[in-house]
Amino acid sequence: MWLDGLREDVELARQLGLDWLGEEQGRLWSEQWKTSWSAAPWDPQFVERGLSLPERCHVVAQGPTRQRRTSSGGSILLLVHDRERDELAMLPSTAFPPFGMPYIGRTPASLRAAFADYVREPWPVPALPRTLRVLKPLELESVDIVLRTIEATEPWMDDGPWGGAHEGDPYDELPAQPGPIDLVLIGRRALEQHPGRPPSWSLRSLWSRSVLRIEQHPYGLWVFEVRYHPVQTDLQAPERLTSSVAFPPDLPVDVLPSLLRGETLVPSALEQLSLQGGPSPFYLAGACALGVGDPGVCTQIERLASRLVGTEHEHVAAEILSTYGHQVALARMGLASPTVRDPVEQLLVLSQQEAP
Amino acid sequence: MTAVLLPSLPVGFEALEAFATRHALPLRWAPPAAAGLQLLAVGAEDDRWLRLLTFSAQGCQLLLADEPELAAGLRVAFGAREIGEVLALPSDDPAEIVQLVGYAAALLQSGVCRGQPEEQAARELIIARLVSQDPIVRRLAGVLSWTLADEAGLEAVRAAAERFPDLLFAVDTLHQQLHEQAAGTLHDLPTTDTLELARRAREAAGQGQLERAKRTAELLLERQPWDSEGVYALGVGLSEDNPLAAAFLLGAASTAEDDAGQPEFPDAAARMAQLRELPVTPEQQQATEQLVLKFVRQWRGYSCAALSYGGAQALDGKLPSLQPLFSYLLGAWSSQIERLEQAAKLAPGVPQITLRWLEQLEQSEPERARAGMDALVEQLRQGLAPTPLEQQLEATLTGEGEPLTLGSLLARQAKAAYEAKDYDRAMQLATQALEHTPAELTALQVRALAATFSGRLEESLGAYAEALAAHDARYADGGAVFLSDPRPQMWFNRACTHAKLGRREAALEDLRRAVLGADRYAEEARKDDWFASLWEDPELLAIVAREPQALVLQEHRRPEHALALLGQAMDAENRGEPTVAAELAQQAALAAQLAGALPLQAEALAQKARTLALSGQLEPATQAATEAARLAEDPSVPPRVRGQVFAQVGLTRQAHGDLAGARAAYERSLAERRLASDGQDQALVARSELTLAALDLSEGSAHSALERALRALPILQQVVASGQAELTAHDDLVSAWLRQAAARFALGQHALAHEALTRSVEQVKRNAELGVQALPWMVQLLVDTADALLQAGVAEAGTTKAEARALLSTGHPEVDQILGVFRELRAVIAAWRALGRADADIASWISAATLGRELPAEIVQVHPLPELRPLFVRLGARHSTLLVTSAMALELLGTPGQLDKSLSDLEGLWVSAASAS
Repeated sequence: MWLDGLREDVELARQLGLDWLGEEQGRLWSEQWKTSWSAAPWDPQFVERGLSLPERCHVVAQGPTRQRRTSSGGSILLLVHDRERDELAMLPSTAFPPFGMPYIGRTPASLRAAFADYVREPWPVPALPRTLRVLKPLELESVDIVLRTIEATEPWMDDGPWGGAHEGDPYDELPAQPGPIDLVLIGRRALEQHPGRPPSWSLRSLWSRSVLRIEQHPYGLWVFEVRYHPVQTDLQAPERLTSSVAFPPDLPVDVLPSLLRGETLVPSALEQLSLQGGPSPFYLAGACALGVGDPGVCTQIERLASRLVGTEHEHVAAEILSTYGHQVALARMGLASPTVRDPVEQLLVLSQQEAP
Repeated sequence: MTAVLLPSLPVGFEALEAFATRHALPLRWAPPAAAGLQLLAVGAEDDRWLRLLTFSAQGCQLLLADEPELAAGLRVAFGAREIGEVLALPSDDPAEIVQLVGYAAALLQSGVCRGQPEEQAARELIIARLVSQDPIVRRLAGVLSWTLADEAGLEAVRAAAERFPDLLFAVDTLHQQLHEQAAGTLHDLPTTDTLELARRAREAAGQGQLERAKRTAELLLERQPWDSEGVYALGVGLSEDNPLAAAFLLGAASTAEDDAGQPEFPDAAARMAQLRELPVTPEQQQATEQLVLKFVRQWRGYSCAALSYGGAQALDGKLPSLQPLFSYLLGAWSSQIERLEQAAKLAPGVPQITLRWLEQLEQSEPERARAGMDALVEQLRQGLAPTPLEQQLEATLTGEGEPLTLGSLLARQAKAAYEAKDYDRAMQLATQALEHTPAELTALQVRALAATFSGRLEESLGAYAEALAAHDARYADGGAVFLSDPRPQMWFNRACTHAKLGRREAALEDLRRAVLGADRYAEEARKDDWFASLWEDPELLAIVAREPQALVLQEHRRPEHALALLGQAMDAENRGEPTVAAELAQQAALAAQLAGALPLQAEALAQKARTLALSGQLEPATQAATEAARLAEDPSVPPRVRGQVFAQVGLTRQAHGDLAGARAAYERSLAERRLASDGQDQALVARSELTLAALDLSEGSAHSALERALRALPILQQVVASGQAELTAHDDLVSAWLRQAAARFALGQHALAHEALTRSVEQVKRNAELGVQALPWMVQLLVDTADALLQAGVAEAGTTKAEARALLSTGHPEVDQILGVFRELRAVIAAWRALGRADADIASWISAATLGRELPAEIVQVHPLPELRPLFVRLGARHSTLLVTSAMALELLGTPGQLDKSLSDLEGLWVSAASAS
């Protein structure tokens, strides 16, 4: 009944760009969804988890289409009716993990709210209000494999990554229909890196327009940072996607699958782990990589460094502090431990040039 | 604003948010003030703000509150203290002292206490610790002393470094920082991006940051000397250091116009007018001279005459040493003869200037000009030493071009005399020029032409031979690609000479060369009465009618030439350039026909038919095949050639869908090849068997196909084992196994089929060890066959499929991807051509798909078009020149007949870019 009411709301369809589908069209979409998800290149158990949803859900509407900015790929937003929950959900792409799709209720107001969260226009990057940084100890030599995997398997993510030299998204400067010259110019500039920061590569998601920044840090560490507008729609969706990592409930789910591959450590987990095991410089390096500009970082680093004083790791700890330019913490470590005093005196001078 | 310190206090978002809520400060997030500095801000619409700043290096956070009430609240909520109080705390503990140094530096960096007592306290704290006896405390103070950020701070650090040399690094750092700060370049990241440099130059010039404008413009002009943005910014940047140099550059920039024809820098002329009147020192004059000479030389290289003119106008009458140059530039720009004469008189030792004046004078006073030219020649002949300044001027005006020598000057005179129809003088001058410069091209050409028109016909022939040989050599080393080729004119004139001398064959041969070089000589030969004796000659009429047969040079009417062309045609087909291949095969057929080599003619036509058929041009392919088959019936054609011709005829018919006709031709080919008896022809017999086996398979006759494959196999094994086999026999051996596999699969003999498939994969590997790389389509067939077996339940075929797929790999995943995309693209192109789509349309689709333009709806999703653009952008992002070069190649795709070649170029370009990654 409520679904019929939504279907008949012409104004709603016009505003949200919805195209309500007939039974047969919906069936074809559902089949495509099932085929697409069963071939998705994720862990078989992960895929298995989502196979039941295309069975119990029916695609009822086709929403807007979003093209990637430098290629012809992209994704179509679909609305599906979950018969078991008897409400609508929003599917960012048929390749999207089905159990992570946000549920969006059954009223025009709830649909409008969900679209306000998820069908956004690009926003200047520095003005995106929320930031999440997670640590990824990945054994990678280059970011290429990550970018290619996202490009090939996550059609809800835009392409055209940009480098750390840009505070904002350089592609925002492109005209709507870029010509070859525009491409040449943007291609020359987009991947430039800032000489004083860790190399990074950023991408936007197509729907919430959140920004995923992948940073390459010393000591084989990678940090994935998401800048986003917090969403109000379906705050359980991130947990349905993964319960092993405590992601913020207001994190838009269209950026979340990019964070799932490999081990993930959120800042609070890092602190807990450091208390559980013996002293290890990993946690100090991780906190330094994660804590760029983060509240509480200074005290956390001081705390983690002090735990390494007097251990076999204190030389490495001093080097890490120097690498990240934590000069006061470094000086305090040198004062606290006679064995690292000499190297700290040298590192203090070096740290001025080397801070990332 | 009140600064509150949060020493060692872990403040997270939640705590701060809770505080903000309690104080009725609804959250509002603000953009960071500086990268990595301002973390977040909470505030309300009425502009009450809290700002939390994290200073990683200094190990602390500052909370800034813009109201005392908020600051008091922070004290209660977080136990925070005002920073002034904290800095005043006495301490002897080095660990506490270093933390205080950190707080002081953070406070200075934040700038919130500027001019207040807290600022002075912070500075004093750092300065006091610069002379600490503890090296750690001292060096930390040195590291953070950059926050002192003024001359007084620098003095303090210097004084400390005199006592403790380990602080010299801090002196250098602060000194450099102050310098950058003064120049306005403190926040300019190093870059080679000319667009960014131009932006900075524009910004600095607009904001009056002279040092920044100068430094940025210098970097920009190093890369792009013609860039008006850089010229203007450098002018602005130098306006205090050197007004004269600045006036020159601003004068140059004042000539620049925007797209609407308006001055690009509206204030440049007025600034220039002011600056040129300012007094300058001799050192400034000298520096200006060097700058002017450098830029004029560079601008001439880039043909930026307007910039030189604008600069010259600015300094006209202001810099006596360079007045000849300015007069010359002004005179040359506006064709003012008086100015040029003035320049020539001021610098008589600069031949470029005198020559330019005389060329101008020629139009109004030819006699005087000629006398002047003679005087110039004499001057050069005497080799009078120019002054150092004249040498500099000559070098400046010559730039990267050819210097003016006695030989080149005499050649110019010779050319002028020739154009004035004074042939005797032209010959005389050309001969003199060649005495000085034996390879002077203009002189060689003029001597030959003048000899012809002065009636010295026999003499002219030797002169032409010499001139043409010199030009051939110049063109062969690529030294004259941007000049118009004078050789067709010389061939034509030599043809005239031969005709006049009654040497028909030589005249016609040179006329052929002339017409092949430039069409217009066909028409000229009809009218030029030097050819009157040949006007009725049928061969001349055929040449001027540009009949293909008549235009074949005599030296090309030989079987060897036809054979070479046929080889080139096959190579072009293998390179994936069917249009070029078909044209070469046609030329080969024509050359063979004219040489009377009928078998070769038939073979060339059959090759043409094959190439056309494979590229989907079925009608012309059929015509060529029919003609080839007709010629091949001639008794003079040996069975080997006839076998080859009918094989190609069969392929053409098969492409046309005429399977019965194809079978008949293939059978005939097999019969003819059996007639031949040597080992090589045995391999060809096997090939015919395999061709027929493929036909059998397509018609469902698996038994017959198997028999044929089994007949071909031992022959090919023997041929290959002999070590004398051609490359194609190695491929054919793979085909023999593959056909056997396919036939057995069709007969349900899956295990035997898989065994045959395994053998074919092994053979491909053996071939590779011998340096014979498998054809991609053949490997693809291996993969497909393995796939079919896998589907049919032969589990081992999975391994075979993986092995076959690995054969396609270069070991570089991105290169493999590119090769795969282009392989598929060629298959799609062949299909489009077979459907009658024009190359121009296909080219435009490929360009559009690559560049992201709109495509017709029906082909938007045609694989692999969607893969082109991501590849292009990804490679281009890593190799910016690739984008430009690819864009050019994509433009060339649309040139008639260039689709295949441009596609190969594009593929090569992308592969090399990917390999270099």
